[in-house]
Amino acid sequence: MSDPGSPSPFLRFRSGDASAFDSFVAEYTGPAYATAVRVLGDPARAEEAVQDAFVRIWQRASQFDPVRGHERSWILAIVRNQAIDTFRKRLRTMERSIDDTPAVYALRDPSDTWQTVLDGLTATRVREALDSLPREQQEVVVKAYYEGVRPVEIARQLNIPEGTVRSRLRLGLGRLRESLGPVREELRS
Amino acid sequence: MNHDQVQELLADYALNLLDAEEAAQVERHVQSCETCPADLQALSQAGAALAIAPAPVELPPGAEARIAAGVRERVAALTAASSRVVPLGSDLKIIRGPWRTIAVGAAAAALLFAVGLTAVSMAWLDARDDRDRFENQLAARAIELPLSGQGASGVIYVAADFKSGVAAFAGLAPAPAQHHYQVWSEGPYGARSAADFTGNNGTLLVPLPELPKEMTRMFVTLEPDGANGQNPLGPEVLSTPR
Repeated sequence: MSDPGSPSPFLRFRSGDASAFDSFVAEYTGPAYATAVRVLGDPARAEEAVQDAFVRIWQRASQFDPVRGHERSWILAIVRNQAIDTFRKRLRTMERSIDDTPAVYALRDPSDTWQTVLDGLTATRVREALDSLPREQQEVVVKAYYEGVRPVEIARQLNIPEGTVRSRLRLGLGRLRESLGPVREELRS
Repeated sequence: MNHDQVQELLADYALNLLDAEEAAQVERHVQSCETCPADLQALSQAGAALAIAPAPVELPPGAEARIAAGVRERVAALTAASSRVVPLGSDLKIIRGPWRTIAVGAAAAALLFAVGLTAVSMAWLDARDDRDRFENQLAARAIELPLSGQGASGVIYVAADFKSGVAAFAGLAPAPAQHHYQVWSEGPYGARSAADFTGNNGTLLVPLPELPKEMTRMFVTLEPDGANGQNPLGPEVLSTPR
């Protein structure tokens, strides 16, 4: 990890310091691999997906805006998206790929304090919040986020109406966000 | 896409589950909607939190070194490839005429093939991703796309603004009777015909029209004469890397 208060290797790389890229890769290999394994469940493919993601980040680092995005979340979202794309291509279940950069990035409100909330969150805390969701909401959120399955396909897999899946997904995401909210209040106090 | 339709897809959008076309439609609505931005913000905040949730796992032996080495190798290839962008237009004398009767200027062919046919697929992706930068900085230059297939090879140069291009082929036998070759671009829109030709025993240049900027691959098929040209029907004989 980089020293608190000093720019991270990723931010240094983004600012033009090419020598920081190796440090960035070293810093994020573990979390990126954990993300890729979570999606793919296959160590060898996870390594490939991590490499793909790092190359994409190398190409797209200049698109990251610290005002609008949270570094760790942005990077690991790219890894997740790359892993899902790898998974889909392997199954050949979808012809079209998802974009590998996090959605909503361009639409994000710069005054959104959620970036600060994310700084204060740990992976354990988020997993606890996810685990606390009602089972049916958790199931849909996990399938949608970590497996990249769209609601229409989740509905088919679970043999329930698509509207029910969408409702569970929105409720689950809303509850997840709310349950992480107290962190924001703690930070404000 | 109306408000209700966008609301249906907001969570999909927040979790990056939409393809580019759907995502663009959602974005257009959200940017002009009074209520969707707040809904989307809450959903995307949850998505951002989920990104950091995976539990740490132990890396397999040697994985860290393999990943670092693999990334270094690919970044080096990209860096080299990006320097392979070559001028297009001023020195090439492409004879535009009816398809299937395009002549090859020896000098032009020599110039093209002097550039080489090295695989630079990632250069293409890089160029596409950084299209704006390329358009601003490399105006009047081209992006090199290698084509490969059984017994033949080729290369496509696409102008940085995508408004023109040229395909060069070597070793592509003349098309069998009642057949012709067809060049396609492929992207979120599916496959779209760019040109057709019959081939010959030498090298061949085929001018290309404006190409979709969102294309992700180009390929060549052997089509029966009379095919509608809307969808590829015949086998692929050449393709840029997938």
